[in-house]
Amino acid sequence: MPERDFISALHKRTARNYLERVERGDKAACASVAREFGREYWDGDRKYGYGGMRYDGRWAPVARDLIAHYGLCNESHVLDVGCGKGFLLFEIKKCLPGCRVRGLDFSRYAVENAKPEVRGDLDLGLAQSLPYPDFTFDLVLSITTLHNLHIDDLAGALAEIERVKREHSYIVVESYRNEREKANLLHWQLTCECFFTPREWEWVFRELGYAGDYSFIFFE
Amino acid sequence: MAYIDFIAKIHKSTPRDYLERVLRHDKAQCAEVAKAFGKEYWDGERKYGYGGYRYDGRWRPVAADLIAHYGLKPGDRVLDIGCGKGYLLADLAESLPGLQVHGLDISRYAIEHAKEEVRGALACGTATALPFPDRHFDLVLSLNTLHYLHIDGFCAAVRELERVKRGGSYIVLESYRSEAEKANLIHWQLTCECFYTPEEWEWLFDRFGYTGDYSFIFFE
Repeated sequence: MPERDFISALHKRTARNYLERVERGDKAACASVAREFGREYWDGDRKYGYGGMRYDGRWAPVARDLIAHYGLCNESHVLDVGCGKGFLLFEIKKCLPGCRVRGLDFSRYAVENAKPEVRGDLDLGLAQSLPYPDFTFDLVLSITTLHNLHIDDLAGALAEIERVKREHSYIVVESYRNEREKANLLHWQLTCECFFTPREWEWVFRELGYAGDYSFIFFE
Repeated sequence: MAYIDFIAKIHKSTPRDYLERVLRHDKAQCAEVAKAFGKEYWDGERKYGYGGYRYDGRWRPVAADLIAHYGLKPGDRVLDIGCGKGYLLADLAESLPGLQVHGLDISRYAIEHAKEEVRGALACGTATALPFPDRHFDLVLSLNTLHYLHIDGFCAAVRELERVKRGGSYIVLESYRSEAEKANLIHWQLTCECFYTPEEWEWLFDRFGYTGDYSFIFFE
């Protein structure tokens, strides 16, 4: 179960003013809106989430790295838990047109407003009850999603990922390594429910039986 | 195992400016100082912890309630994990002569500056490795302490607490029921490592085998 990082370079590209969301004084109200994972979260003001981020192809290098590392081919079956609008699956499919991609997200808005090329590959559902048979996927991904779950649902989601995967999985979660990164995470996050250091995450993975790969993003 | 609240009245008697700690001070720096649990935390500025709070007898009614509820009698042994300066133990000993009180705290400073009457009954140590025999205490208390541990430490502390008790136990933890209380907790806390809703805490109790009583404090 190694730590592998496919994501940090992308995460670090975005500039964040960590305190801004606190200074506004309406953090709790914004978090309530964000947690609905509706239009405001995906395409609304930055104070509610993505701030109307327009897709610029940024997931293409991540898709290429994942394909190379996990040896994906046109016969592979890939699931993305918390796929959002399906950008990563779109990039995987672009490289491997025969690859069977599947995405799951809790947000009806994200699925309905997904990239048209993969919209038909996405399902609405919960990470803790994946609507797929056992041993279905060669690779299960979950990128910056699982920390949004409460710990009981996190346990359910990790068990589900283990159940539906045939071989590999790779998850990315938010974490912190020192007081500065902890403060940045606490102040920046809107929907995070798991605040763990890397050591805690690794303990949680063992305790909850997650045996796949992982990496962390930090708010430096 | 029951939810019983002995301390909300005390918690609510303190007014707190939640945002001040984030906006007026460098939270990460303050947290680093606080986590040493030294002079600054106990007797320094408010931004580092207690703000030089002077004991005013506020734990006396809690001591009386605990004695009545748990039917404590002279000769019984009580342990307070995270006893700090021993105020609650001193009030317990004063209310019930003959009660054998013991305290443990990670902070050498707190023990050296504890209330004189109980100083000899306090030891410096960690909740994850209690220096006491099995089934040694008629009542084990841990008030506003265990959420300072990381999740693996909390798991170990629960195991230790269960090991040394032969009667009841009562623990108090920080928690939140809404986005507003979550934001208040995040902004106010300096040393908290467990951010869980009541449902999550109860899930962890179940999983880690905690069988005693508990209550939560909220930042309303």
